[in-house]
Amino acid sequence: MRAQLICLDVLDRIRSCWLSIRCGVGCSVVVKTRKIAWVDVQMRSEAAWRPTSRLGKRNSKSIASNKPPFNITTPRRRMFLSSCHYSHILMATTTPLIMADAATTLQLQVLQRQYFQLVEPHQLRWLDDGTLKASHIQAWMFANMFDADEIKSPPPDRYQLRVLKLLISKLERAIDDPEEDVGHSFLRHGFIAQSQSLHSIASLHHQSGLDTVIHCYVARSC
Amino acid sequence: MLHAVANTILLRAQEISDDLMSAMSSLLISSVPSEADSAQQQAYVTYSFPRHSTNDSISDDRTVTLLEARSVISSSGTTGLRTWEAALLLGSYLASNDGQAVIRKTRVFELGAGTGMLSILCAKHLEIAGIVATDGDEAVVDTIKTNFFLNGLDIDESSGCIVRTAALKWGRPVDASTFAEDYGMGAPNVLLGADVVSSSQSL
Repeated sequence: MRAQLICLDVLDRIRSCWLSIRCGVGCSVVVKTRKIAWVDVQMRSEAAWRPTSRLGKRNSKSIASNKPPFNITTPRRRMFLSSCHYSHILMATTTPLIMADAATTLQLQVLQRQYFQLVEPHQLRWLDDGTLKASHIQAWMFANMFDADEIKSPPPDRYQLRVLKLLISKLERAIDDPEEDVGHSFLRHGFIAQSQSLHSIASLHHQSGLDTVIHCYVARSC
Repeated sequence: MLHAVANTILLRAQEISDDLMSAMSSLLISSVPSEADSAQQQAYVTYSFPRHSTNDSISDDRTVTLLEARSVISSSGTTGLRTWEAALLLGSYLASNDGQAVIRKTRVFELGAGTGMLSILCAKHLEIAGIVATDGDEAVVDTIKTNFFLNGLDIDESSGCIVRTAALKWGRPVDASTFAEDYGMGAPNVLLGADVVSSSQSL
């Protein structure tokens, strides 16, 4: 019982990163991997998900999981060098649940609303640099503000670019230790919500009719 | 230059989300229009009127998405191609509990609707019975129609609310029966107007 998500390595020195993967039904899946990678996956219908007891190393045995709903299709990028396999979804949660800190969520929502209202970049109410650099905050901002494939009514390109440039300059300033693995903070937040099973996420998606970003942690199996 | 950009991106990928860097690089390599051109073009603008519920877990943003020329003050003889601050303020009031109490279940008539922001907010989120969005400029009325469509309001059934647009020249009396014939709904209970007149001297 092994669900494989084929990821393609790009640089050995990149130890971890977050990936946003587009699913066939309009979901994004953000996957933590140890190597940078890009793949396109399709989500099967919920009925096709089978429960599995096989869990990854970091997961506790008590947590029910499901077979990851992935089909593998063409890699989005072909520039990468070699491939490796990832398996076992450890946890999944929707974006709002990832934000364990309600105040931060509120700040992000304010920033997001200002952004879609085309408020001048320097007048946006930015979060402090230390908060911005956390990988789950960056993942949230990408999924909710800059994901060109998912956002229906995006701001004009020039405005997006100005905001992104400013954001990235803030991130550069904030990240003083390039070796720091900011991904760990996500694990702390993520596991708070780990009791959300994939099935409940799927039904949430189904009920709301909205695009739901599912965040998955995938353990590396080879 | 592209090579340099790519190198910079790869070097930075350790710290900064790859997705964000990719988004920026694809914007950098696409032909972004100049500042001047960009300012003239219509763009999507989304206004949010968040509902402040006591339960934090339920957030309802109540958004209105418009296609408008955000930085155009006046063009083609109209100031109706962008949403003005007065409309945002009136929108915030209408979206508040007090405002909703005033407007719920009423038939609303908006003067100088411009981009149609207020009319759309009312029809989409505030449970009104019907709306007629009017403006003196035909071209502006066309953009209101586009914006109704963008918000899924082009079909009456979708919102349970009668939605009409009209070019309206002021100065002629309107009686209830003519109104009903023209707009397919009874005489309005609420008249909305935000920044409806402008002086050419002030522009």
